Amino acid sequence: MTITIEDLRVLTLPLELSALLFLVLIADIATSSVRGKTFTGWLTFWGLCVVFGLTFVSPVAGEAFGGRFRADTWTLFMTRWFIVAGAVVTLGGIDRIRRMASRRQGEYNLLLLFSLLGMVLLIGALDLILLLLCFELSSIPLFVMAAIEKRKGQEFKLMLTAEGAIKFFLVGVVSTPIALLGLALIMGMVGDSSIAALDGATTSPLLKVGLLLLLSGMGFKLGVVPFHMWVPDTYQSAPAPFVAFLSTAPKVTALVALARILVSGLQNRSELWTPAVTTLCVGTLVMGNFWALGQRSTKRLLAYSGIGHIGYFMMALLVGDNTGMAMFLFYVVAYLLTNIGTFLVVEAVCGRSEDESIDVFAGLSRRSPWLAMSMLLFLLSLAGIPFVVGFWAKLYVFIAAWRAGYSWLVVTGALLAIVALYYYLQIARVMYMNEPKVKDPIAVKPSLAAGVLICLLGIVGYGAYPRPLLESARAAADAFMQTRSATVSVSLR
Amino acid sequence: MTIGSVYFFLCAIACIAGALVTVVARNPIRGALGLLLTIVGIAGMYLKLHAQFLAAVQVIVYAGAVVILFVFVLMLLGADAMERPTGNRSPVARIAGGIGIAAIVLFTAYRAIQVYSRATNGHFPSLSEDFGSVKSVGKQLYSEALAPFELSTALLIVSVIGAIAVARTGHKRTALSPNNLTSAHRFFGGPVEPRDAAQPITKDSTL
Repeated sequence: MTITIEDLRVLTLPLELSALLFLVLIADIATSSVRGKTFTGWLTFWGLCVVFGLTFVSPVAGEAFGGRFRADTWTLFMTRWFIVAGAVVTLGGIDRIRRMASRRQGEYNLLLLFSLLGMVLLIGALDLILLLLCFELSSIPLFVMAAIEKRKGQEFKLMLTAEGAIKFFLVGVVSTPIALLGLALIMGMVGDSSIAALDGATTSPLLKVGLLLLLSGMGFKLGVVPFHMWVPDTYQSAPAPFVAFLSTAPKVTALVALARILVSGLQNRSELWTPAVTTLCVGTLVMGNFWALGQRSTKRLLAYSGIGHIGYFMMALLVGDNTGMAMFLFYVVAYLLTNIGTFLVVEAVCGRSEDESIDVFAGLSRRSPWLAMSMLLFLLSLAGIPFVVGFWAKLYVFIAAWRAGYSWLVVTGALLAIVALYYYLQIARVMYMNEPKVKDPIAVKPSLAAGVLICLLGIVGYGAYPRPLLESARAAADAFMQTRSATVSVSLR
Repeated sequence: MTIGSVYFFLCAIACIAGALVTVVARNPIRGALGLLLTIVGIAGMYLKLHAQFLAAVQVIVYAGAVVILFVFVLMLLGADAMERPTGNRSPVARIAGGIGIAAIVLFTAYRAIQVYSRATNGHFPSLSEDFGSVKSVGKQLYSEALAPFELSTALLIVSVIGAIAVARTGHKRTALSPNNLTSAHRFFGGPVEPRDAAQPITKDSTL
């Protein structure tokens, strides 16, 4: 096998991202003032906007490295949404990172771009080794970003950050070898590292052990019950704009990696993995939503709600066909926009005081009515109330799961959505009913407000008119389910 | 007894002895050196399995880099960084725990071999002559596995940048003596040099 320039042409999008990465690296080295370091944040944001624009200019389709990497409609769809997530999180976080980690802004943005590069490569990877390496590239930067804030003279806060970051780091590095061992067993039973070869695996206990190890390794990364312990602690202690990223893009990446192996690789052998995934799905749905009920800290509440959402994602994966993947992708977009928006509002309200209990939201409607309204819409979208995008996402997943014969799972999911509604509306009640402790409006930086606005437009727009998103999700899902080399085409939707 | 099995037993004894030293040794440096012995023993076993490349990497990475790093960290943190084990469980409980874990590991290994030999009818497929040689691994690395190989360089850059970003402290140290520094301080505040242990850190001393 020889590598030609054609191979690199297929990698256009990741290479564009790498070019941006080098620009940010050089900008970080060339500047020494805090203002200069903040410039790297703006460079990251505008650079990501340019890369996003370029996805509409030069779509490339094809296979590279002997079929180990493929660019098609699916990679284009996912790349766009990952870039949107990265750009919005950078925009929303610029002010917070400048305040709390002024000397380390360059590293923060650089690591964010590295993580994005890993994600963008992962979605096209058709090889188990490449898949794992891309996944590691996307998750290792996050450990550092979780520990990026070091507070002057606040011993307690320092300890809290350290605790959250170290828990995240340890869970991350311990779960990788578990997943790796699982992959090694699977590869040993298949005899090849390509995804297309997975279907021909001999059914043996070792293959099942491998799948189980892989699921538990990835379960730690995803934070599904019972591997979720690190999630609330890390979310609580890390800066909210970073949590906006951590709670969305890396989770989606881990789910995509799982989907690549289970849904697309083992699509004709679903009896091998559905029992384990169903168990994880039910456990995550039930426990995630019930544990969220008692939380008094907004970030912890959203952490448990995020765990609950992973359950809905897994329900979509369980369907295991093109429709299921399309609904999964729709849910991905809804979740990305909604969760990033929610955490950015949390940053706007709690960022200065660093007190993130629900009581801080008291009387928000009278202090900053726009902020309260956007938070309300995000919460409604998380809960799945009609005419914001979260409703369609849940509905589509339920329909797909019902048609695939998982009616009992749909009933469970719907009941737990009602439980979720209770704790989401609790925040809304505090915002609209309670008397504010402080009367003056909250000062929100324009960059943060712009980030919230982008998410808000997204959820309301797609909530009112979901059809274009649904159709592009369907096209992407069809491309995803093709494992064998086929005529790879790409549409510019 | 062929010369091959003598070699195997020598390597096996080196592994087990090294592992025992790692666990039993009171002095952490001695423990690290025991680990070295285990690693060299495993490298020897790889050689016998015709995995020359793996053996070389095992020596270079684990014996050369990882153990040296362990020793560096131990020496940098100094004697005050080591906590004496405080558990006062009886030796009977400890031995029973050890035997229990050994039994689980042995049972799993036995079952795995059983399953594997049933799947292959006791005949392991023969490999090509140069399997595992430096030449064949190198060829793979620069042709079929080029993408993962290049990607691992990005992974290394991330690790270096991340380590610097975490280790660098911009703020002054608060007055805490090295003895009651917690692990969080060690993680974020950087290593404490043994020669500083005598003098308490004051507010003026910066990193």
